[in-house]
Amino acid sequence: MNAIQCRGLTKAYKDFTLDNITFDLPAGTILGLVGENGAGKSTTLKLLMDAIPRDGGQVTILGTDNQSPDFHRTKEDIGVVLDEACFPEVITPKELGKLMGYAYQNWDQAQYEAYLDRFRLPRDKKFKEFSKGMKMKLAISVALSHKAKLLLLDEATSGLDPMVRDEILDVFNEFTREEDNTVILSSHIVSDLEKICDYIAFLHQGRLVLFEEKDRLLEEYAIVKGTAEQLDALDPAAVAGKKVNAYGAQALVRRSLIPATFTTEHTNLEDIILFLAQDSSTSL
Amino acid sequence: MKALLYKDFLVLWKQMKFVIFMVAIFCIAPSTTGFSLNTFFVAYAGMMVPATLFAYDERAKWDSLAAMMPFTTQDMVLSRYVFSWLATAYAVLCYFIGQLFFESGFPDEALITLGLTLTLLLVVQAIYFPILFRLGSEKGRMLLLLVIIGIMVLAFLGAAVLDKLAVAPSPSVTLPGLVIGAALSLASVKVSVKQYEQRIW
Repeated sequence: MNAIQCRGLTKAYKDFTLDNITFDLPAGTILGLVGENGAGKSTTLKLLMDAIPRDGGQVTILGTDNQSPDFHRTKEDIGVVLDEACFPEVITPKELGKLMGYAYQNWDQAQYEAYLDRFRLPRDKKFKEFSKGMKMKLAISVALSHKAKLLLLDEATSGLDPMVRDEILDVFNEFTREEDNTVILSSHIVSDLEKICDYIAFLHQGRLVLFEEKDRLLEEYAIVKGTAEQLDALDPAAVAGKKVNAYGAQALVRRSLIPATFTTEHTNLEDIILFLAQDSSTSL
Repeated sequence: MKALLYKDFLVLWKQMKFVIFMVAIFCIAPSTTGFSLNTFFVAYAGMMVPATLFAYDERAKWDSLAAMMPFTTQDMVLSRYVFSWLATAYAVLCYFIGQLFFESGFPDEALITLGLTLTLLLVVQAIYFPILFRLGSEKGRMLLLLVIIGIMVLAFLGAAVLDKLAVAPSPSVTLPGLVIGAALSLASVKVSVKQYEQRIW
């Protein structure tokens, strides 16, 4: 079963268009949504939640069309963390628990208290007095305390130190141990996504350049180094991206399409994304 | 909606305690002190309290989160109206307390003034809230003055017409106005829902 089915999702602003986004995300997986600032990651998440009007396309989340009248009930099953947490400045975690108890029918106060303890969050301190890391931990505590089946995390790890990021990524991993729990994590910190994601979606200038299983990406792509002439001799279909500088050239290639005589190097997600970004920029 | 009202109450209580106190003092304050602004503060409570809540929400980017939560657009809009009606009711209650304990009860003149103030308040809210829902508090606030001036002009014209028609002032004069104001207010909720849905995010 798919947790999300997204077909031709489109949103046009004056100076930016999120264009024809289509993908299926199986339930029980973690999707990393990666892209440069302004690529359309946050817009995509807002459109998935029908939080902003769209110009085209169709979205089904947890089996419900996101523009059907029932969708606000489906939102009970979706935990959301935005990059700035967005709670009123003066509210304390204790009051926030009560507020969310009124907002979510499935609110689990004991679970919330457990997360506050785990993240060592003071119950009576005002939100505005929290550090960035504490704010994100509080938002995550809320998102995980109403029995959500889907988590949408918009830059939830950005601006945090590596230790806090690691702690938070562990929590997301634990969440997906429940068979049908699904996560979408948008970030431009590719190393975070490489650690925990099953799927990678790469948005670039409003277009979905790539949607693929992470392991398949890492198996399929490799780096080839050589002179510019050597790389020019490669089958163009095999080359996904190329960089040439004064010291030589390197290309991101599809392993299956290049001759065995070429020595390939293992690549990582960051390199794949950078090569693809460069390639799609030049082809746009 | 309970969650949204609770959130507004928390914000109001923690960030605007002084305003709540001031409204109580000025609404209760007897006119014999020579400094009676009680009906002005009824209008102030019904207008500025919700307008300030819009601004606090905007600063916290609460709307972005609320749109992702299990609230309908109607919930979000209606809760703000309900809160403004509650704020008005609080000020009116203070006004009544003042009239009862520090003034000579409820003479016609006081009731007429209160009735007209509430009518104007409902009309201003009915026009201003859809603007706030569409444009947000920053841009919306600039239009508030224009809305108030426009309505004041209409009120003066209305008073002049009544004068010409030689209608004797009695509290019942304000009833049709209040009914129209209430009807406009309810219609305004629908308009605000539409405006909020079409807001450019």
